[in-house]
Amino acid sequence: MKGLEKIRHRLDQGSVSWLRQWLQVAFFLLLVYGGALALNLGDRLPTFACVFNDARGGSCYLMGFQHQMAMPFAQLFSGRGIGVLIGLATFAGFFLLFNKAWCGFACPLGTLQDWITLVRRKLKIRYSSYGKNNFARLSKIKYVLLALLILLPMAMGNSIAGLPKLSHDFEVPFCMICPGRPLLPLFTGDLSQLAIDFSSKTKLVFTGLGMLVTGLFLTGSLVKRRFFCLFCPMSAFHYLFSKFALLRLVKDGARCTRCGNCYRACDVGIHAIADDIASRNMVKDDCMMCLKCIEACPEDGCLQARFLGLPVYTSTAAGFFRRAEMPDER
Amino acid sequence: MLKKKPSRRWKRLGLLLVAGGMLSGNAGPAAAALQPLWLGLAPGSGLGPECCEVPEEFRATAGPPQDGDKAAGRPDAARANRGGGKPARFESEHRPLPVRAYFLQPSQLGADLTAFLQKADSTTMPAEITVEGGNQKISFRAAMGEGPMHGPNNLYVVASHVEGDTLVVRTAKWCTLHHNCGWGHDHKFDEGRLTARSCNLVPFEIVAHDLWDQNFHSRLMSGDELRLDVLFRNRPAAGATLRVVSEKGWVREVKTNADGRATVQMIRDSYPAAWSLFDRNEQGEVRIEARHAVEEAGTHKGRPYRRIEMVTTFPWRYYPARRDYMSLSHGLLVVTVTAAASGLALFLHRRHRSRPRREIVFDERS
Repeated sequence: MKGLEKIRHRLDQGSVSWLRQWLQVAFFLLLVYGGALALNLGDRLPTFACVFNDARGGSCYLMGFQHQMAMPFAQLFSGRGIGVLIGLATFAGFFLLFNKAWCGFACPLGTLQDWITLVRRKLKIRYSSYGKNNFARLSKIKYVLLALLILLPMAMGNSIAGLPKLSHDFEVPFCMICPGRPLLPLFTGDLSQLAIDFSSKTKLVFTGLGMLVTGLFLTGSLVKRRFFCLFCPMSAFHYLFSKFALLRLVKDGARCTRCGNCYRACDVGIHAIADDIASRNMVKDDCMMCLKCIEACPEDGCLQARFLGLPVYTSTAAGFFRRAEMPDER
Repeated sequence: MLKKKPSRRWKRLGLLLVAGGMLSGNAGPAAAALQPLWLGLAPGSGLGPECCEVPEEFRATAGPPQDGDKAAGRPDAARANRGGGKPARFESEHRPLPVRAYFLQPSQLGADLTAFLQKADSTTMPAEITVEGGNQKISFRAAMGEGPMHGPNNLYVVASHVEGDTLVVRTAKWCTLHHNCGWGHDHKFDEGRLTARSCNLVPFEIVAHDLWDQNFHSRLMSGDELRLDVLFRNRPAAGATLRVVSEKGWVREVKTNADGRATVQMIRDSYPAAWSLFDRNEQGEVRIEARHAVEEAGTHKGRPYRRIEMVTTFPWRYYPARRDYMSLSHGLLVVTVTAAASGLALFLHRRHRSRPRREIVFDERS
């Protein structure tokens, strides 16, 4: 047990950001190029492994989910619905293991934003953050997007409220506007998704919107850390299952001095991480579990990442000061 | 995956052809007009005015399949083409069906026919030949685990008989793609399934390359190079005549080279009167036909012959070229302009901001 304590002590004094940046590179290579080595993690991944990238090593669940939502209700609520449930269960199974750390450690689009942030820091451009009210308002957009990515395909396969069915040009509506679609295939030299489809008005609007969002993504990521994560419907989807995940981020409010370090370190800019001293569960809907807040916390045992109830990374004063002395390589 | 040994029936077919004296031979003069056999989804479906008169019951319906369709005995495959009222000649690779059925055109009632399926893992299984309303139907069970599987599955019909001193061999091939996202994408790097295959039980066939993508969706488009191999007893047939006919009747005839290969660029032959009529999902049919003749003596079912004449067919479909409706330059323009304009707006906002910032700015270097 002493050995275990020693390992934990060393871990708590180490930098999780260092580990994270290398894991991000590894996941990026796996999810963007893994297919070229015949690696395939499946089609139900709770992260943006873009289906439009032919060399992908796994696929984002949202694509298949949108397809499934386009089923006529008669099929959705029959035997075929079992397939949908199995897909959802597989997605949840992947997700429940690592909770929202999929966003912080594995998401290729998140990694891309972190790399753009590195460029910003090299260029010495000041970063932006949202005020509390704006943050709360913008944070709701992801739920709207999640609702649309379910409802639009449903309206394609079914007549809702007596309205005519939507055309098949509405298929995979979120993928059409997701910046991952044009950007991730670029890493394999595929520019084909960086185009506007003029075949129909619907396609024109969706692909045009997709390019617009991509442009905003590039600028936004340059001035705001993890700009897109605040609007990500996958993040909203995650939140439905987050409470049951094995990996958790917990806070002991009694030890919090509300110094605000955790909030300032948070890439997404979650105010509650500093303000909320009553809740134990600190995985909010916008959290990506990068664990930077634990790194930035100078209070012993105030913030903690726990897996299956066991602490895996804990904030410590010693760790905080040790990390403060480390050369900043992030 | 374990490969099934060819059944006795297929061995017999192979032996029959070998016993028929069909050893390798030189290309002879162009064959006389042998009537080719085609496989299609509905009797009479296919290219050209003479075969586009599709009976009403085989016409496509708009929208998804209705329960009543099955009750009415309408072939599911005939519904694959969306768009209402158009002749259905293409099947959906996505829709698992308990039985897949195709019609031989023209019917060869009373002829010596063999039909079988080469599955995606290269094993074979017999197909059933029945007569329905005077039309010959070739069908096979296609439920999961029973028949064809994820990937391309080739259906063949072989007919041979001796006419005078000539052995006439006619074959028809149909490739049915099977894919369902629910089955996963495990075969997307399986070269064996992604590559077009020939069958050594078929004396004469066309192998068309690069017709589908890694998810087993048809990907041939106008403007693409169609790479075709013609094989005689599974070896390149040099000098064979290939005829490619597009949806609108454009015809291109070429001879295969010493490797039995020919390349044809698919023409763009669809020009809608107005852009609003353009449909990116509208498929056209391309009919590929190969003819070959060899001077070779032998016997077939006890009847001697001195020459073999062959004709084989393979229909496929093609989409409008992406470049007809996708614009990379417009996409790049929108991305660049949006990024530049939003960047400039932000820069100006920061420069002219007079209101003090409320939030504390975190010094990332400290």
